[in-house]
Amino acid sequence: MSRRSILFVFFVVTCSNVFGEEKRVAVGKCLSPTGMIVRREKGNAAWQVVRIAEPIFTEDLLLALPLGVLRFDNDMRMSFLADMDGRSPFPAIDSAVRIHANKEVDLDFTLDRGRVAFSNVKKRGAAKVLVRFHDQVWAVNLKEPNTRVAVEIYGRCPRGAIFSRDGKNSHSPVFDAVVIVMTGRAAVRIGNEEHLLHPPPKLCFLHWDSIDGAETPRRLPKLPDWSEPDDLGKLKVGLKFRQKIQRLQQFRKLVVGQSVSAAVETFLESNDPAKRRFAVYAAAAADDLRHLTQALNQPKDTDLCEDAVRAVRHWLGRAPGQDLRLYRHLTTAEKFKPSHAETIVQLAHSFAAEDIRQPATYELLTAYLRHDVTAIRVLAYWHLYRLVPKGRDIKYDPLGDKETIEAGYKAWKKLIPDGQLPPT
Amino acid sequence: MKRITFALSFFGLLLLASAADAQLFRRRPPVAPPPPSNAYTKPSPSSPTPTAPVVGPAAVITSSGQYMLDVQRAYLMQEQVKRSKLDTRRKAYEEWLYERAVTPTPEEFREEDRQEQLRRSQIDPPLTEIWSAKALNDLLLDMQRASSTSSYVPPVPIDDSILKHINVTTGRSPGLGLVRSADRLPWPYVLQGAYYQDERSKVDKLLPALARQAERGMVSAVTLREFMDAVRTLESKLRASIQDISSTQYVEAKRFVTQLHDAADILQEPNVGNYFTRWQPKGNSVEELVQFMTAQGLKFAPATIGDEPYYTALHRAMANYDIALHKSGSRSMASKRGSYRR
Repeated sequence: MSRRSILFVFFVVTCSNVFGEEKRVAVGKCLSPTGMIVRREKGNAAWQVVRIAEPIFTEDLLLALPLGVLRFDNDMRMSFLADMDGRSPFPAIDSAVRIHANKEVDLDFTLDRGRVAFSNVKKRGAAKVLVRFHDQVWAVNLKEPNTRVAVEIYGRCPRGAIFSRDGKNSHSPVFDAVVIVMTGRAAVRIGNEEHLLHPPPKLCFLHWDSIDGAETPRRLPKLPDWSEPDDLGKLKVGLKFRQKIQRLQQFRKLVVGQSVSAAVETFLESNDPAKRRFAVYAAAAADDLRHLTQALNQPKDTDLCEDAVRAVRHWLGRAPGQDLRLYRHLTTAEKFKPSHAETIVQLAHSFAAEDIRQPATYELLTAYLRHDVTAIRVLAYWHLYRLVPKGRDIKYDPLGDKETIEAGYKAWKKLIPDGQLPPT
Repeated sequence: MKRITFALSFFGLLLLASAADAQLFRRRPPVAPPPPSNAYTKPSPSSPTPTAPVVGPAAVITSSGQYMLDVQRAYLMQEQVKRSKLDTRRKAYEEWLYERAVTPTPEEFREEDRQEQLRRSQIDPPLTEIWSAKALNDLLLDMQRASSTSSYVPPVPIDDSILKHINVTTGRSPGLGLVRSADRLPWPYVLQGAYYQDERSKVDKLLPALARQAERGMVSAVTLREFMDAVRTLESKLRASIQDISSTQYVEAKRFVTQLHDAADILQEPNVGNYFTRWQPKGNSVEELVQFMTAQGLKFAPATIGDEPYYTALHRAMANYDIALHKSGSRSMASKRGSYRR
């Protein structure tokens, strides 16, 4: 090999090390039972199960279904606190993070979605954490050992967002974020402002949104209901909780034994409505668009329609460009007509204030009540239910037979004739 | 001497207060009002809105300095409330409430909206409200009310080319609309298809003829009936194809068909010729335009497809003038108060 070739190879390797993607570095381990957390490496679509005590690597996307605990090498701990049951004030339905290698701080992570709590478990001294989400980087200083801070985010496409097939004029979702100090003391620095927070009932709550930025910290009388302990075994033992734990364990076993997709499919086919509901949100969390679309277009029961629509909207609000991803999936993988796929994506958004004042909007929605495509019927009815409370007594089932659908359509048409606004 | 000493001390303390005020705002933001909707923090008597502690030189503030602080805080709070009100409806939490079906009914929403419509129309209304002429009419009404109390306001000029694309109405019909652009109708993509060829050809032929007749003040009933039949058939065909086109395409096409219906309505007005003569919007400035609209008893009508940029430009000019009008009106009110006190 000539000297020039050696130098060239050396140059390429150095550049790839300096400018290439971050290396995967082990920074801690999983404390949760095998299968509670799954991971996906960058550039890879497949989810892999994280086993108990397995190392956690930087840059992997870690998704909890829905709970999980991580322990990091420098005495930091993180819990995933997703809330698939809807007990939270905000929809922290699924939680996912990406850890970054950063020697300047004790923990550096991107909160991709949902809610996590991180703790300083050092024997002494403060812990510095960088929390990243959306376009934000917040520095959180956990002032003393056993300080625990929760942070949650969610996004939604703004009302009136218009979907375009070519991706032009694409809108960005709007986001909400919340920080709550659960124990100890923490200083949260956002830009040039620093807020010192304590647990309830003191100043412990900080709310931020992507429109107005951070508000002044506020007090909470007590910790929210979702602030459960990490260990599943310590959870309350009421019947509903026991059933919930059983479902989680069953799902986890299916994930470990087969895959996330197989677990979702099994639960979707189940006769238990709670399992079907869980599966819809798990499908959205795991980007399983096939099953998410199935839940929307071929739901087993009408109750599932509500969760399917909400799961789709939650998924769309995660990041810009999600609507175009959904459209492409509907047309290429699910073989929807482009016009139908576009209609589905558009109806997953809310109507603008000006549209709500137009009779044409209600004309469109009522006409869609007898559309050939189930997903369009489901979405149209979902909006009409919200926009026209007086129509809630009308017997309409988007999954019904032709006669039922036609009868429901006629009733809605009688309530909102063409060219008119709904009655108030 | 005592008086001079007292005045110097007083002004010195005022200066100190201003410096403290500036320091305070550099260090800490003012207290914000409670957010309009936040499920975590519902207000309760036992947990009043907290404030950050005041430290350092700000502790030494006279009553006059405190008043200045309060005025500035109130102004900032007002701006924050204004901004948060405007943006509330575009926030993620609103969408989350909508999903849970706990939003106000459309009627409650419309009522709430009416109460803040002027502020929205001035500052940052959605484009759809500008193009529907709602924002323009809100500003027009406000300017008509404010003109009696205001002092001089510098004119805001309007380009003549803008007014040629603005529709007005007496209130009986939605304005000239597509009749004005009859020779080059902006057909939406969906309606350009072969399926609508027959009706499209008829409308392209009949509407310009009707427009010329309207200008002369003599619209033929036969021609008008033929036009209306073509529009109805177009609409039926559009409805029948609702399953084959996307919702966005349908809404765009439906809007166009609605404007064709509006054209038919206005062509039936006995004074339709006035829209080409007396009622053509005029004015070199916003003030002149408002005077013209007031004198003729006119309001703004929705934009024809393709004329949206002209509406946006006119809105900007009117909003600037209306804001200036309010400022001059508040000054003239203040001077009235001052003279009353004297």
